[in-house]
Amino acid sequence: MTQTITLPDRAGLGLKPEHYRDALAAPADGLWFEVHPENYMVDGGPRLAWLDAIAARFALSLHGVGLSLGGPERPDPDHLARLKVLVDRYNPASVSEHVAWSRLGNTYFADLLPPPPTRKTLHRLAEHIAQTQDALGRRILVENPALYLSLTGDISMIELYVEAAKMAGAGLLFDLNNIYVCAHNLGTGTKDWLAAVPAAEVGEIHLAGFTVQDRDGERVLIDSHGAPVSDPVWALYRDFIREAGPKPTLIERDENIPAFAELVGEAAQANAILDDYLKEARHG
Amino acid sequence: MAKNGDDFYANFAKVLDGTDAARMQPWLEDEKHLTRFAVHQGNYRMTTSKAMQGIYKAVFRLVGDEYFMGLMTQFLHDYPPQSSSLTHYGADFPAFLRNFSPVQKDLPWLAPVAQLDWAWFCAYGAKNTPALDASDLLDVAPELLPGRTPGLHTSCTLLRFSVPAYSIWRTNREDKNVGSISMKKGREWACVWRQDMTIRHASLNQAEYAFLDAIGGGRILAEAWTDARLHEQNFNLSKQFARWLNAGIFMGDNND
Repeated sequence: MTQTITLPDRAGLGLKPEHYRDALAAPADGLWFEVHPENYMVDGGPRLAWLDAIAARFALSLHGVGLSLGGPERPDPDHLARLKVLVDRYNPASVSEHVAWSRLGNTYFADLLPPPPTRKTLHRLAEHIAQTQDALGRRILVENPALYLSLTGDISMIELYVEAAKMAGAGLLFDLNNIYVCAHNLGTGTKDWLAAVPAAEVGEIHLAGFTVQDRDGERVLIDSHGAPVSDPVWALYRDFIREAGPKPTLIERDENIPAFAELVGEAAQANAILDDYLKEARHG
Repeated sequence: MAKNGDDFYANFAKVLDGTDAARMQPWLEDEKHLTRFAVHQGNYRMTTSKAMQGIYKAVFRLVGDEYFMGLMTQFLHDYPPQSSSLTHYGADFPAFLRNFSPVQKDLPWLAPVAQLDWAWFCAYGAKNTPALDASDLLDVAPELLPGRTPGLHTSCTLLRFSVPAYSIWRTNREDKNVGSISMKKGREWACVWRQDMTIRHASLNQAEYAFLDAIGGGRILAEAWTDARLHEQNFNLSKQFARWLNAGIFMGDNND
């Protein structure tokens, strides 16, 4: 498996079509971009042309949402083939997917659904990650899920995430908003996640904002990527970087898309935390 | 309900399609979480609806948010996404609208407008194939031109309607203030294609439609001209060929 470039240990941004011009004009300066490859699975046209231009200037990460790694069926070979076309075209610095399922039979459910946390799922998930890596000819990262449901199982969701990646030889994409959302929604703590995730295996961090829904009088946090990164998630990030050291860090925003400058401001906030770590490290 | 292996996925899928979440109780540690399946139902519906709003822009503007979401609920049930990339979803929407009785009765122009939205979306993502250029014809003797089969560019869709769908679509796609279109305008013909990276569209008359339709069917220019003249005796082949050549609507010489 070959991989010639890596993401810089700096902040990157999720790339939205409304920001193509701004993104292309932004100073490179360690900035990188992440896209959902599913949005670029087209034969040609302006969208691919924009991504070609962006990828020529910045490191690129392909963050998939459609492989259904946590599902009962092996990853869809047609989808894998389309992903491989993009991987070959861009040789991205990172390729990642989710510990989630979204497909059953011929239906794609367009959501990141929680798999049952069982040993059977663990083995199947590891197999699906390995099949993906074999098909793409490279190592991938897998992301921890945002959870709204307490599911029964013979292992924990944390174990499913960490162990499946380990068994498949994959890396981890650690989403700190997701652990905050999980901790609130399931009444657990974020500490369990922070203690169990091996920092050395984390190849990328995701930061995002959540929105709140009321479900029968209960406050449920939704991983909507529809708001700025929240203060508690910034605090988790500072703590994690202090322990793990600098990591490529993505600011995600998929809803209520603000001006590009606002996202650049959030990226600067993440970079300031990364810089603080480096300053502290230099001064012992 | 007994808890059994992969039934988890099948039952979850049924809940996403609108079945009562109670069937998932065996897999929940906390019964109170049954109401939270609505989060996933909502995500599924919203993600697909937003993808479709991005494709069917004129339809969305015409019917509004609430009606569009209502259409999507039924469409999602009848035509759930099959590809894990939503860039491949929605091709069946015009047919769905054509056969959906409330739309058939009250909004007969909606399905044709949806066809135009889909044609625009297909042109946007079509393969980057070169169009026929005047320079490709430098070595072609003028008398041989009528015998050529230029074909239509891969991004091109020709459409014909029994209602003024193109006029309705155009104003809803492009105008800040939507113009009033009389149904008395009657039949319309149109084409949508991509020239380099720009999506283009044009209103056609029946003769132009017949001409381009014949070319799209792989017929030689002389035959296409004959078809056009059935509708317009004075159809000018040289002028029309030059017009569409400049518009990049013909397939390039180097394409298979």
